[in-house]
Amino acid sequence: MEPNKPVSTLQLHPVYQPIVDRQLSVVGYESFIRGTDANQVLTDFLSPSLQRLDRIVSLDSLCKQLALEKYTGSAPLFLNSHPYSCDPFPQPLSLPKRHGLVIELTEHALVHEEQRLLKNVEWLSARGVRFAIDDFGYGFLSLPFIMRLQPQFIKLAKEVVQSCIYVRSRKVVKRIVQPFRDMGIQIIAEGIESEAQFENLQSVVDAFQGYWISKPKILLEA
Amino acid sequence: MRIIEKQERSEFGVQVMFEPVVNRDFQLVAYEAIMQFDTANQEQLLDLSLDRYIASKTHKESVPLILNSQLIATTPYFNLFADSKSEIVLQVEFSQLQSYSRMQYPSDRLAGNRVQIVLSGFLQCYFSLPILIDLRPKYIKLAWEVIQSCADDDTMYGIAKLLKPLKESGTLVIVDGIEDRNRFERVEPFADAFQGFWITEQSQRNFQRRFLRG
Repeated sequence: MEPNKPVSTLQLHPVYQPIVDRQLSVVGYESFIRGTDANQVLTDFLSPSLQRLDRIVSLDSLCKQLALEKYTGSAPLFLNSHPYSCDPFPQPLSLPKRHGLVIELTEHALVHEEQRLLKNVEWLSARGVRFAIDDFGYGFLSLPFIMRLQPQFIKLAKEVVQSCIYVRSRKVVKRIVQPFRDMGIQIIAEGIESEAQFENLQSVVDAFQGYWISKPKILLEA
Repeated sequence: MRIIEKQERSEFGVQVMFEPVVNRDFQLVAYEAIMQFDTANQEQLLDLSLDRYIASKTHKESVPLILNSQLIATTPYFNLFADSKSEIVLQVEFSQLQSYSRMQYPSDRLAGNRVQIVLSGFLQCYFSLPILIDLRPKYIKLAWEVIQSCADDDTMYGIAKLLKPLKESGTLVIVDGIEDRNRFERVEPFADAFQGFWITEQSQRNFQRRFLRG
């Protein structure tokens, strides 16, 4: 595996994991990247440095492009965006017409050109793109950033979901996410790995995602 | 009552100052110990947790004393506070709690030693909801960025709404960095306690007024 293989030659393909509502109806798909070079891409994403900013942004853009090209579903597509991509949907990507688009951001986004990012978010929001905060409750948190972003979705980190096996934890999480729900933000629980987790979180969140529901998979042609 | 008390401990080379924390009626609810070290001894003092020990010893009020916690693996030293007159509040950041486990830092053991926790840098920091749930901090101190963001009305109302569940569960919100009346009034709707230059000034004036009246 070459660490600096040119982006255009990387062997990658997208897979999609369903997000379901309380009745297990699919309300969206999140894309992930797989393939021979997927580990290299993940390594670049998880240990970013500003010296490699251009490469990371190019990789991020390529992952988004592949996810959009291969997506055959009609439910909204949830696309991850790297914190370094202050334009979360850059040219030459074009907005999909057949399905909705939700871009997932982490609050780390604020560390790199937040103003530019928010300007792009505003432009995309005006064109129907929605936004999600990823991995909420475990990792870096910036409430001011969430307030400025005004996301439509918040995805609870799997560590938070796991802590909800305890009744007390569940009650506290429910109380903490309720003000977001009152603001019209839908809460998605990530990392659902058992029926018990799905059942326990029925009154806490609006949607669910995880291996118990489905592993990420290649979508067949519609 | 002296609002800011300075104590010299020459044998350790530490000067301790106590900054007042007040409620919205300007009644004293806690002191935060601010320590200045003789640089030659600083490392040794931090290692041995003696800084907190000295602060707790020099504190003569009955209100809680907030102490900055540099190290998380200091549970053996909690007994240093055992004969303290006031409740001890250890100020920690979430980033210090990354290696947290229930065995290492049990909240019931803390409470048993009359030690409470204030989480600082709150809502703009490394954050773990499971740790927050487990730790049940008595106080949280908002991050400077969060306080600044309250200049915007929508953000301020949003933050107030999001803090409500924590407040309802008994956690008190401290806002530090109050430098003027405007900032005090801005955060008053959701803050339970206040700290900063302007607060210290008001507290000193109140004290002098009372002192002069006899």
